[in-house]
Amino acid sequence: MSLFIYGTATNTGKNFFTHQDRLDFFLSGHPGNIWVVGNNEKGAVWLASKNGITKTKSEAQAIVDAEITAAQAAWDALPDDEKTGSTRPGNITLP
Amino acid sequence: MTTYKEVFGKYVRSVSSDPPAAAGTGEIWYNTSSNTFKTVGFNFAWSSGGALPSVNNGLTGAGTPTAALGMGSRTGPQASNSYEYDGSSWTSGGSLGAPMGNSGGAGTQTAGLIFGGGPGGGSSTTSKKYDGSSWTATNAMNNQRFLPSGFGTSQTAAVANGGGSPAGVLSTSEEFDGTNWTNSGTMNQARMSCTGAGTQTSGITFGGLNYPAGTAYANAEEYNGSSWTNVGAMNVARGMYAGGSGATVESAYAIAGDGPGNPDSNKVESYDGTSWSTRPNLATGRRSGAADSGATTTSAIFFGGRVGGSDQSITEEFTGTAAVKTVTTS
Repeated sequence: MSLFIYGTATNTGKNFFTHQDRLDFFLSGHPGNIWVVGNNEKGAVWLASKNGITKTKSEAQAIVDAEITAAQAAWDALPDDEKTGSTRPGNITLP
Repeated sequence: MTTYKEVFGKYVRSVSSDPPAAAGTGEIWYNTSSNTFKTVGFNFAWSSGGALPSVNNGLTGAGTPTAALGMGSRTGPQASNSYEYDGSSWTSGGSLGAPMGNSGGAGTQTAGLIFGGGPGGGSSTTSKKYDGSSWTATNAMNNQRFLPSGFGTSQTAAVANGGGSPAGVLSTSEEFDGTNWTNSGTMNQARMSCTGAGTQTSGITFGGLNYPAGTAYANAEEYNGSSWTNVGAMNVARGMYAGGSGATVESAYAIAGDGPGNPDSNKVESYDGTSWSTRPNLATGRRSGAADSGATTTSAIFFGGRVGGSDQSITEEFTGTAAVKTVTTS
């Protein structure tokens, strides 16, 4: 059994995830509204309750990669003075 | 062997059931039902908070987790905006009057202060203070700065330190007394994109970057009102932007940030006056977000920022809830 569930869900703000949720299961958010959720009952129930759409790990990684690639291209196209004080978006590898 | 009574002046009490967590804070007891020693610890975690009215990166923050102030933005029309948080939702505050981004912040929700930065994250000597409804320009800082550290829980006793400028990365600091900025001590490490916590007479700055190499720093320096002293380093090197919070040095948090090998970090650490300890990660790592300036050892917030190439409106709230825990030797 894999350690994580992958899915898309939109963060709706307050109580989208609670203090208790964070104690009950692993959770991390990524570009493209991708959420990596601990693969236990509470994690699965949480993703379903947020109308999450389950993805495979490779599908989720592809969504993140597309977001990052677009962000890197946008950053590369900036004039040098606008790059000052900001950093080029780095690649993200989902756990 | 020294006994508990010799150290604390009383015996460990024996009980058959645990007291409520809140009543047991600071105590240790023996539970005769489970045959274990018990005490009260804290369960720390980040939960989602209300969303900012607009996506935002390069903003700065002030106030407390339940009465916070968000100010400026690196880009977009929201660069002139301020926002107020009540612990649940954000509402619009007074207009800054002009774009400010990559600035420093200090003070409270009803007596806030923003300084440095500028349109597109440029550098400036601009300083403005807030009365809870409108912003007023103050006398200018002595040094142009962008991405400075700012700390101070009072609008009339704040510190600006480090940052970038046309002359390069700065090691200087200056104090604001509510009217004027006055030059103060020089840090041991020139740094931009650092952040800070505490007060004008007892503060700390940490993290940051050099430029243009972009090397990230983990080291920290404490400020005593006149000079800077190197202290214990964070576990993770990163440019902190405005991700530092803490009403005191002993409740300082380093939240998120960005650095080589650590992009859009979700890492969080807290300082106890001596060393840094890892705290639970944010759910969403990001750079260029902001924190309140009045965090306690059990509460803080972090809002806005940038993930990949997307500016964020999300807020996360850090809380520690008391819980009965079994004492182990590990």
